[in-house]
Amino acid sequence: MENDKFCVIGVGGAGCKIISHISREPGAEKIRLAAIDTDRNDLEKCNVPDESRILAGELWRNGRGTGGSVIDGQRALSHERKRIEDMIQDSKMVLICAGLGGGTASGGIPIILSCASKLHIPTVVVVSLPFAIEGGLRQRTSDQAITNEIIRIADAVIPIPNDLLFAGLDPATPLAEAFRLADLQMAQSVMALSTILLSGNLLSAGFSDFSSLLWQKKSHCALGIGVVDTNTGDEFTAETAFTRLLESPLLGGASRLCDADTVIFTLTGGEELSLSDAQSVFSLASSHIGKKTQIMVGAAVDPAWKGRFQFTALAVKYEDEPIAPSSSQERRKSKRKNRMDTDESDMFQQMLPLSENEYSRGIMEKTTPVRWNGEELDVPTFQRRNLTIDTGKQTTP
Amino acid sequence: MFSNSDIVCAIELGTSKVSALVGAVSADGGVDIIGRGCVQSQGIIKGEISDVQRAENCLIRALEEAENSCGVLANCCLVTVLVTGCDIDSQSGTGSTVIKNSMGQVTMNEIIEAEENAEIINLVHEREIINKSTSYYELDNRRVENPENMPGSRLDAHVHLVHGISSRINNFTSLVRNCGFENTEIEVIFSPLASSFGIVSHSERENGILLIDFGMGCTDYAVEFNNGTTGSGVLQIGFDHVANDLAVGLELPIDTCRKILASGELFKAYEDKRETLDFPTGVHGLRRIPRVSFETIIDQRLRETFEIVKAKLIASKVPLTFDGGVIATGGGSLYYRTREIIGEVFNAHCQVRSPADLRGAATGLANPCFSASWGALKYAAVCLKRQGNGNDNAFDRLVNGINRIFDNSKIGLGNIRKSLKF
Repeated sequence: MENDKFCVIGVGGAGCKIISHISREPGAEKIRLAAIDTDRNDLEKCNVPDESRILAGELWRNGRGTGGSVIDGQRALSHERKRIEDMIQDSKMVLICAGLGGGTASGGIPIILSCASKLHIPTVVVVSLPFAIEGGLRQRTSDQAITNEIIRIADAVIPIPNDLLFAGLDPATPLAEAFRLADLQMAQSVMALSTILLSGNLLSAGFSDFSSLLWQKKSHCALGIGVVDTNTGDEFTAETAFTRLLESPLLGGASRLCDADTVIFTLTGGEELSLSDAQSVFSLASSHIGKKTQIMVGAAVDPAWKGRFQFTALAVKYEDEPIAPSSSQERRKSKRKNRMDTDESDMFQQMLPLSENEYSRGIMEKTTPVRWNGEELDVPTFQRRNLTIDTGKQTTP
Repeated sequence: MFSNSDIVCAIELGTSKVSALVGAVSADGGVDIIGRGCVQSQGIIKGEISDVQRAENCLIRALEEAENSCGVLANCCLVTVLVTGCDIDSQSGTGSTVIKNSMGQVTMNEIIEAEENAEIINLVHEREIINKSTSYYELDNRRVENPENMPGSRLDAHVHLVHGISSRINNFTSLVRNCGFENTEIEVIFSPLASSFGIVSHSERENGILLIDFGMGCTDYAVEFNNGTTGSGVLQIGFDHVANDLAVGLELPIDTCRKILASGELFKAYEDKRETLDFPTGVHGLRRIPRVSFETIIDQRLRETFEIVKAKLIASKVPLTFDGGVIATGGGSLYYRTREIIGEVFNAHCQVRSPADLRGAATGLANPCFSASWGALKYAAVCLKRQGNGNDNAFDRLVNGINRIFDNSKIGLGNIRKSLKF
């Protein structure tokens, strides 16, 4: 994959910091980084080349940021539509990372999404959600941004509540350090996603699988990362990598893997990554997967990863729920309540159904339905009679 | 060699194949197959044309093949086209006429008049009658098989009328016209009537049989009794639905499912008593699907399809008496479970049949897939023969009980312009 096919854009203050972290990770030269912000100071601190920086709304805000106002953020970025489109236009996929709750990100992300969808580019949004303690306004802002704007346009949304990010840290950590670690973790998630998408060089599950997955339905994702660094004394075994992955706070527990509809596993390593390593890791992982889950595996070898191994799992869950005003009310309420409990189930949001009654007509989908006695005959007979069929176990030799 | 015979052609635009059979009408009224073209179908779903361009390309290729195999397609004077789907339904009608001629005997004119009167039924204006088949006659309330030259005062004809939606039927005829038959006569025949004409014997038609043509896109059926058709219809569920059910239920690609069904692999697994079938997935994995999963899904679909056929026949008040049992034909009848399930649903003996009286270059046509085409070709020959014998009044065809359609754009017998598009 060439490096201008996958574009990662950081929006807002948090987004720019994440981009800076990403630029220091190995493998970052393979993806295209960009930063958009309304605050000149934040933007300058960001470690990206000048032409990939956009200072939005310079004329109005004078480089001073939006001050938390969503309208200003929206206005600022919509002024820069042309520049945004020029920047993303030859990308195959756009990943937007930001921290929601303020003005630039919450107002601006929908603008970037609409630019991308105009150019028919699939989009993934990885955002952090405000703390429970940050108060009602920021939460309301980020809620509204996600449910009313982002979900409708983005192809995949990975929301990461800050509470969850910080849950894995030692309570005695100094605050500045805690924020830095949180940003670093976000950066690692983004890098993990990008390795999934760029790891086309060994096994099949890569970019095209992911984007075809996205194009089909709106989906919920949870991301788990397990890193084993032999340079710092760890030993690489399948169990270590997998256990680290399961412990990854962003995954939300092993049950996410079991409940998912599709899981994309990727293993990245240096040139010493061996066949038996890959086999043992994948077979261990797939033994933890539910029966109905579809699995895609990808592997990549990159000299920059010498001595390090990263095992990532992206669990994608499709859920049936039509987007209607009443249901988004419910969603917002349930999200707020869940965040109070820091319940990991709020990681998954609601999505568009493929068909109303969960029945598929298969290849007859686009034909005139054949009806008899109130039944749609194109839907398989055994489904209409509610028979369960054993679809076979996945085994590896 | 065939310069003296009339050339006829039977075209089938089916969901699995598009075929053109070319025949030369012989002196005895039969037809010898002299050429054929058969290509895989595209653009036709559930028996009806969904993509005109692709269907046209298929037909053109089939006609090319037919032309290459016989060389005389350009001289074709009559084409029969099989139609199905189109919301085709059937009903019975009765028409009467009073015998007025001096001898007090029934002549052909009275028979035709009675049948024409039977066609006067109240049809919604978007529908038209495509075939009629006389079930039986009554002469002075006495049932007779062939009333010609019998004395009497009043003749009733009980007719089985097949009608469908005009615009959808015209899809078929206009497609055929566009492929080089602008000036040829085109006859439309409802598919199961053609199959019945192709493979059911005279005695069976007397004793009563049910014919089921189980194709890829549709299931057509016709009930024959006492030498006449008492019921016919189509259900737009076919063998491809079985493949689709497997694909959806077992999450396999549709082509894999079609191959499994066509190859007889399931039957082999059943005979070898193998419990599972294996499918490779990804790089390492192997998926073992129990054979019983396949069988359940397929059984459910087959059973339901034939139960619906039965229900439709009952709803049209067709008596389900077939002493001759059920005859299954069409591509789907080759699957090993079809015959058994039909037998169970109708509680009657079921046999799978292919065309048996093929004449001419018939290699490979003795297959249930070609029953309808063969029947349509024979029908074309009979139409032509009757046409040649006397009146060229458009309504003057009486062909073993199967009559013509009315088609306004018919131009009559004549030479076709040498303009087959290639």
